[in-house]
Amino acid sequence: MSRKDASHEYVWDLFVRIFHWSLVVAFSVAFYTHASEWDRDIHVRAGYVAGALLLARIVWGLMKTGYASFDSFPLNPVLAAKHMCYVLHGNAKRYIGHNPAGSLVIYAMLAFGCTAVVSGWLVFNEGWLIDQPELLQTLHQYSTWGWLVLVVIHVTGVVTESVLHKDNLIRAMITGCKRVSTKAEKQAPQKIPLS
Amino acid sequence: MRTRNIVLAALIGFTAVSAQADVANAEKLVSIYSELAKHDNPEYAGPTAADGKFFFNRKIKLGNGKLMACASCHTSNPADEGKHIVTGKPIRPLSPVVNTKRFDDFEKVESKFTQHCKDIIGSDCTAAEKASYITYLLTEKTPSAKK
Repeated sequence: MSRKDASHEYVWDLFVRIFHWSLVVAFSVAFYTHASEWDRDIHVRAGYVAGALLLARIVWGLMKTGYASFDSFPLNPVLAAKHMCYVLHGNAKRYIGHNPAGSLVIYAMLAFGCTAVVSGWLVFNEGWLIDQPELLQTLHQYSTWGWLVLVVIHVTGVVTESVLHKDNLIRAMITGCKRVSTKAEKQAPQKIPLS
Repeated sequence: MRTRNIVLAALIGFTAVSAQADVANAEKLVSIYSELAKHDNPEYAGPTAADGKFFFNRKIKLGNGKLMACASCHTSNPADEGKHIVTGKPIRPLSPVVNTKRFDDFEKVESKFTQHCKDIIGSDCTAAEKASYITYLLTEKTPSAKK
């Protein structure tokens, strides 16, 4: 599939795609190794990698990076609720980047992800900075389980939108390209870095 | 199993009402685990610090051939600060006499026991082992003199 193909638009730049799948791997490793003392070093390193990835993504989002920029998917819970209503009624507008409901989940994931990493970091360095081991452990547990719930919502959203708009969003996160069918969708394509 | 759960629920309810942040909690946990042990084996003679001490220092051969004991991380004096054998991070004293935050909540203690026992022994420890373990820790009151 060529990026210049008229029916496809390049949406997710190389950084976003590498970030996305690296984060999937980092969190999976951290989750798999969370219970055993033997894997503690691996768990901690996976957490640090996740933290660095999240930080890089936030920096990337603050830059002019097309669909990856925070400007292109504002946090708007009202719009998100409206979008969900449209989805349920089957007349949701198609967004090339994140739709308003998806955006809300993305911001929640950034918040929970950062909380999980920071709380985990403080749990590991017990007694350092904030000497409240139990509070930090609870925070770490809630933020990571909350993160998993968000992952489920994110994937559900991806599958739903893929079905509704007859597009494969998982493939889009690999190739970077999304199917664009109508004239309106083709309008105002954004400038994507690393293309 | 069902009656065991009822006994457990009743005992936890009892501790929740009278929870205090001192060794009373640890002592209560000893009585909970002793009751559970008695329930498993009517001839159970009760916990002893000697059994607990043996258990604490007993070296267990792991799948990778390494020998590990509770003392490997918590040192042979549980009143002292320990050191995590994998990460090298300091571990606060395990003895509830020195560190009153230890053994103050049944559910937390139970989940830690399960996790650590599975990590080292490969399966959860028995209630009798846990009762003796805490009984022993309650006898370790003095941190070693700083070198």
